[in-house]
Amino acid sequence: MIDDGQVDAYLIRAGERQRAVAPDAALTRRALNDLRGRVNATVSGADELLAAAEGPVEQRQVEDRDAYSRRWLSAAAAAIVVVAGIAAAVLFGRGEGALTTVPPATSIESDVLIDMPRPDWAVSIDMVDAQVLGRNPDNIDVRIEIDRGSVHGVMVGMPVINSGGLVGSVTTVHQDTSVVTLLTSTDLSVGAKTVSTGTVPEITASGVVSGRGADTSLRFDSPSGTVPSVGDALFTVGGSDSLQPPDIPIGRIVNVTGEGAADVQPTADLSRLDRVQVLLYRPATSTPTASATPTPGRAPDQPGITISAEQRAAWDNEGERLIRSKQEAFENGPYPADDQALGFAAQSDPIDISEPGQYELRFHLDDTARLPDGEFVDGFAINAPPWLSIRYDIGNINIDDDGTMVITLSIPDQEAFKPFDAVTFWIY
Amino acid sequence: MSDRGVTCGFDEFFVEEFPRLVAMLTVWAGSRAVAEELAQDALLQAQRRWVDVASLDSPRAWVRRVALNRSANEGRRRRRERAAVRRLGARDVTPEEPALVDDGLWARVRELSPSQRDAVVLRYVDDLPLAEIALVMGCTEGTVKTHLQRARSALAAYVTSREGGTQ
Repeated sequence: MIDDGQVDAYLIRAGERQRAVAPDAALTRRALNDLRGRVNATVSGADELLAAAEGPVEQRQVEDRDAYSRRWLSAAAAAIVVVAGIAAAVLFGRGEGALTTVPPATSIESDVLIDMPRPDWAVSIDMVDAQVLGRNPDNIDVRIEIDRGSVHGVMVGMPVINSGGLVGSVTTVHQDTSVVTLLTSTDLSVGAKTVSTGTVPEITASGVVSGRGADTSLRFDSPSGTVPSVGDALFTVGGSDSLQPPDIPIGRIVNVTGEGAADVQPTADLSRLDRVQVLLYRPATSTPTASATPTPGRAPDQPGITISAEQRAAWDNEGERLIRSKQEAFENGPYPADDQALGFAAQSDPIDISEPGQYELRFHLDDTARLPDGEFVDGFAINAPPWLSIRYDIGNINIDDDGTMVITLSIPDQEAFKPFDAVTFWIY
Repeated sequence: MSDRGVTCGFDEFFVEEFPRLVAMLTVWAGSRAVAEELAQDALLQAQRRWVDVASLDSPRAWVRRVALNRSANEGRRRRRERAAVRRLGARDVTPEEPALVDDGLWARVRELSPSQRDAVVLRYVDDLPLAEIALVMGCTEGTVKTHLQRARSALAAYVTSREGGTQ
């Protein structure tokens, strides 16, 4: 067997060969241009949004063809504006006090143009970005699976949207994934209102939108028999018992089939879903829950922890470096990754890390846990809000006679230390 | 380009870091195409926060941490995507990736524990000094050395088979 020095030299040479096939200057320049293109698209979208928000109402123009999508794209563009850090306080109202600078509420019933950033209901509703994990195009039940679940605050019944509008509803929730039943499913019905898309929008009918299965169109039925017009836009109607808040775009009337019935083309392209958002919305009549989804820069209250506005503001400004690593550890939960050397996971008792210092984490290993002699514990996930920034060093690792693994953890004092009690650590 | 007190603009940072990130992430992810996407995403994050990132002690370490975190998430997402596709009864059509330089070695590196794998790609592919690797990984230099030493031990058998070494 060759020695460590020879292995080191071999790896050095291999690394040099790998660097030699890295992108050349021309490809790097092209990549930079691509990135500029992505950034410029964001900036131009924000400029348009700012103009819409700041210009006089009578000067804004509504294009009948895209009235409802422009409204929704405005809301999506507002999210992009936040990420780009442009006028976020004005348009998105993050944090206390900023809400006062959000444009006044608008509703579809008023004669204010619907091309406004972020409707009033959305100002106070959190949403979680999700990636579509899988979908079977032959699935008559038209469902998709997303990579967000109960640990992210997702609950059954919550509406799912994308930049086009309503996509469906969450119907099954697991710890870190969920199943979404799409609008086109025959199992789903949504309260809706049709709105004419002339210069002055007005409600033309109220009823229910339901799916037709594998067919991509929807059906609208108005119990009162009121007939909408071809071209009318559909939005959710909301209400205290509704699982959807009002004014989410659903689609457009493309054909009137009978008294009070019509065919609807959804605004969201349900056949090509990649990323969606789950609205963490509960109707006013539902029982409030103590759990909340941690999102970067937001600090929901947790039992036993008081978070001041100053702390929230300070955490909002924290660098992404450590926050993101902890966020991802939190989001992905304690599971043994299938490509890891150790291949087991265990959860420690909660410990109080109110102050910097040394702590002992105690992990109760059962018969299924495998700990090869001398192996080093490589991974930790921390059950704490993702903005919590902790540096730590792993010290001694011992296994007691009763099978309890004890790991000594040193948490140094650090500039951005945020004490939390009852923190649970996982190893994997 | 000096790392501390960076005064150059983002474009210069991109031109310097993009090839290195792609080289590192190609080994990490096993795919050049995925590596280019991940590198772009990480640098896009840096661009969006450039005023803050440029003032950090090590913007280079920051963008590598972001890239590795995104890579880890991407890996998990792909595994869960394949599992979800199987559960929903669809056909898994994951395309085969073209071979990397020294693919056999890097495949074994990807089988190491996450910390050992990260330490190896940062040290040998990205050619970072120990202090900077420690900054990226959020641990001490001593811990980095430990990860590297254990990684080399784990790879010794493979290297022996390639080099034809003797005792």
